Amino acid sequence: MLLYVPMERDPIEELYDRYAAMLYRLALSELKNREDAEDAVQAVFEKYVLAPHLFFSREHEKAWMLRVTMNQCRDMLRRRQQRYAVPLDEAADVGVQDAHSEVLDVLEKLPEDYRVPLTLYYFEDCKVEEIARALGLGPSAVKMRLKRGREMMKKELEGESGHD
Amino acid sequence: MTDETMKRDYRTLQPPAELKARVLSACRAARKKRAALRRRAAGMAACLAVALCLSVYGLSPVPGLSSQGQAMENGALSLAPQTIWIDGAASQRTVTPYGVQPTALGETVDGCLALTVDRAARLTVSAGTLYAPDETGAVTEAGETCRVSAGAEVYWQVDTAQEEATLTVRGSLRSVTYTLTEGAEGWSLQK
Repeated sequence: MLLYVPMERDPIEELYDRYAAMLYRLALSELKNREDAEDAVQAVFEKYVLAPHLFFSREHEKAWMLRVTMNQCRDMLRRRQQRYAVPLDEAADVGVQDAHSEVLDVLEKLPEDYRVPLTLYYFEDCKVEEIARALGLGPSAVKMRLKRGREMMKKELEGESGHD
Repeated sequence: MTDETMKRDYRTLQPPAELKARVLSACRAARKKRAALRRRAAGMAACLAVALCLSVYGLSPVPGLSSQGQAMENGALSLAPQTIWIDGAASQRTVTPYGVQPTALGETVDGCLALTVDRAARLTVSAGTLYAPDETGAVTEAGETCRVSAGAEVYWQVDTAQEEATLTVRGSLRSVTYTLTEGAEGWSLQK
């Protein structure tokens, strides 16, 4: 079995160029906040450096990056919920989604179980196996979620165009 | 909206250019920490081996082996705080993730500027004093560090005749410096 060993020649820059945009978009769709998405991406790369892995393939590496990004987003959302809440009339605009995208608007209406596989498959060109590995699911489960997610998204888009 | 249009629309979301430099810098620092940890672990293992050898021969073990207290931040072992400066303008009433949210811009409480910080952070001011009643209860002088928890209320008493008074908020991944600025509508914090 051939082991895919990341090169030591400043590997992080190459890794960044390869994955950062995808991880950023995934984090943004989960966290709905640019600064938090940037922090999430930074944290993922730091984790990669602090605990380097031997990967069997580039797909394996990609699945690891996606998995850690999802976990990082979940942790950040959990911490966000535990934060102090100010009365509404004193609050400035906290966490407003400032990255306008019609696609994000539709995606964010989907439950996470469908949103994430859909995002990875249709928008990030990930394979079913990669998504399955990243999310800890079987390929059949991923395919089912893609199918249902697609149906939901279609309904949302049809609903929006009906309102125009 | 066609599939290709959706994909194109989605892919227009790109991380800011400055994120790359920040990530690379943080990763270089993380690599150095990892190397330092390995050296320390190797050193401690060597000392332990020596101590064991000495004890075998009935000699006293080497004294003074102790672990240095280290701060855990975000689950990663941190030997030194990382400071990353953010440039760019910020609108007055926007709360940034490492931002300071004034309870009311321009107003003061008993002559202090009242603030809340949205996450655990270390605060430093260049002038005046900080007081976080629910935290340490002590007054923090200019130049010293005041540690606060998420959502803490902090009062900044500052002589507004100062030429420039700044507040630095340091989180675990980055810090932000605000300058106290007087405008037509009162005092505000500008990044």
